[in-house]
Amino acid sequence: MNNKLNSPAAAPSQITPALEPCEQDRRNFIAQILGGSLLLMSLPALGSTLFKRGASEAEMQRIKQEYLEKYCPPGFDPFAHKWAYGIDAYKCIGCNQCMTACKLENGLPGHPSFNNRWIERYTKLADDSNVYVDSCNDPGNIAVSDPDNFIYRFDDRYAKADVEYSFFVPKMCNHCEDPVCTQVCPKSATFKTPDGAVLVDEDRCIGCLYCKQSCPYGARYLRPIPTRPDGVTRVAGKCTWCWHRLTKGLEPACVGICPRKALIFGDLNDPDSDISQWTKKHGREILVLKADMGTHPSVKYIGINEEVR
Amino acid sequence: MEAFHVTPFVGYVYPNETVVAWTILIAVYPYLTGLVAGASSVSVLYTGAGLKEYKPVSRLALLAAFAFMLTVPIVLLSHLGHPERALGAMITPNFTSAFSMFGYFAMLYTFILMLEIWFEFRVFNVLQARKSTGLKRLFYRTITLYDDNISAEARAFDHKWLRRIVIFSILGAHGLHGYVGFVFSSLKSREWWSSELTIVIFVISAIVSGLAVVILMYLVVSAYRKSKVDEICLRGLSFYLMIFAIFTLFLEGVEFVSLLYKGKEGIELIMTYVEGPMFYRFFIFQFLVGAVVPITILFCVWKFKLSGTKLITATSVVSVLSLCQVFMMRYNVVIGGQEISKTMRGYLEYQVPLTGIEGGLAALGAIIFSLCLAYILVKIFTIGFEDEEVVADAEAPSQAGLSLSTD
Repeated sequence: MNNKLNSPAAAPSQITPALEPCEQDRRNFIAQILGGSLLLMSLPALGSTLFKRGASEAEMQRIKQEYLEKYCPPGFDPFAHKWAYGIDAYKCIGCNQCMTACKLENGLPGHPSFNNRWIERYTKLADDSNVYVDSCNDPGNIAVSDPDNFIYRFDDRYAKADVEYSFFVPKMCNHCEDPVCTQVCPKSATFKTPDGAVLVDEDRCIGCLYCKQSCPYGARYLRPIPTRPDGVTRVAGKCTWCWHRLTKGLEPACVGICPRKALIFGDLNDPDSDISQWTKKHGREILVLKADMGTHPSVKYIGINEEVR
Repeated sequence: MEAFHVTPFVGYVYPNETVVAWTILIAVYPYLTGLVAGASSVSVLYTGAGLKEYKPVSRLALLAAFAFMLTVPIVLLSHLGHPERALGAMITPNFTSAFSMFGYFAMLYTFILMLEIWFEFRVFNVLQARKSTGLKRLFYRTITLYDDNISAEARAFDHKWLRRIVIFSILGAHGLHGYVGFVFSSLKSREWWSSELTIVIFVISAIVSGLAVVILMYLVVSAYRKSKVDEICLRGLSFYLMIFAIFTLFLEGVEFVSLLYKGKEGIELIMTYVEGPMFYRFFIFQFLVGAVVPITILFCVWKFKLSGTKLITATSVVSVLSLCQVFMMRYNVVIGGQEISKTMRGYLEYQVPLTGIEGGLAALGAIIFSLCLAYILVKIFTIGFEDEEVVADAEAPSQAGLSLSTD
């Protein structure tokens, strides 16, 4: 016990020097800043509780409904399907026909920097530990292609090399179960349909390309030319699984054109569909790309290794 | 083939990555929000913390913050594919999107800033309205919202509320800028962005840029008006600049070292990239010229107590270098993040085009535009405190002819 403090002779001003008004103000100010910071830090938790389910879900539902009414032909029920896409890399021969069909079907430019899908070539040489990857944007491949006429080829750079192994991998939007693109889109212009396709409403998209940044698979681009006569440019473009064809009972253009039947598409709700049978047959072999991203892709692969990402 | 601006690359990058999505305008965006946060911090030294030595730059900093803040949406909208639809993102937002929330935060902060300016300059505006005629009078009366009362009670009320608003203003400014950091760091697809330190580095470096821009503006205004520079204020700001520059350098170093130390998949590519095309931008401009050199000069200013022309020259040089450093940092975050491919097998070598909406001139134009706005605001309002002098004179017993009550 400090007797000096309890002594009646010790006036408060002697124990603690009196603060200047300005100094007191400053202390109050700092205290208020700290208090305000704590309040602000608690806001995200409060906000996430309020908005996690509720407004955003309702809004998403409204947009989905609006889109379905706008684009679904009568008789097509997206709630009745669960689309999935399989890629058999053992069968792919890298002919790029799927890319050509996709570009023609969806009105994309021939330029190899705007693709809904593309094919990658993975090559391991016998005397080299590296795995080399190239695709339609490679200058060597562009030199032997004719993008203006939608003809894409791989060059023969490995013709005389001692190749240990080489394979082709078709790449596209993975139509993830938990897509990052729909999470980050500021206007919900990109959304997941009930049948599993991730689409973009071109009439809502503001063209910020946050979705392009967020996509781990590089599947998006800024659309440079319109897809339909009344269509717009400078909006996000991506693979739609040819949703306009699906609603008419057709399969995606890429699947139909593949000469080796390396691309499998169908309805998981139908146990007799190609994709259901394929999934059943290759269950243990099936891999997805960048599984660590937690996006749960709907595009499944067989015949690839850990080098593919 | 059609002519598109395709970026050359090394190694393998996804085909769609060769058209860079976010260009220099998006680097200007966090740069401007950083200047807002930094300038607000300088303003608060006097208005909030009551440090009288920073009174000469307090109002200048506040007006600068407002000018930069007004430019932020212009920069963002210019970059959008469809700016005419941007308002829709606020009317029907996606609440899980970091981007859509930015609009609300930015709007809220702009409102707070306007409120702060209204209280700060209310007496000045009333006095201006009283002594003006015609359109000028109408203008000042309008911005005072036709409140003509500058009595002692009214001013005490202003002062009380200003102190409260300043709290939200400083938190809002740094919250907003930190949130811009979150817009980048929350993306898991890019290793270069997804660092836990990004938000902290954004906030600390914002203070560096804010201090630097206010110092520079203060020196330019003083030179233009041929008024004496307040050396105590300048030396104090330089000292803060040194401290925050050291913090920034330290945190950036820690972030980079931790990236190397973790050595996750693709680190070889990142090393090839930073030692290659990013070497000058990252190590030379951002770290050496932009941070080490200014810190050394500022240390000399502090250690040797430089004054007069030497002090002004040193702080001018340091401010320019610091502003360049912070811009280079924003550029290296925004463009650098996109140059490192998501394949982790290659990198792009992006060259900023000179012309066009995504060009260097457009970015420079945005910054010049914000400085022009600051100039206009300084012309409309004031960076001095002459209104306080007028009021003090009027309240003195000898000045019986002046009245502060409502006319």
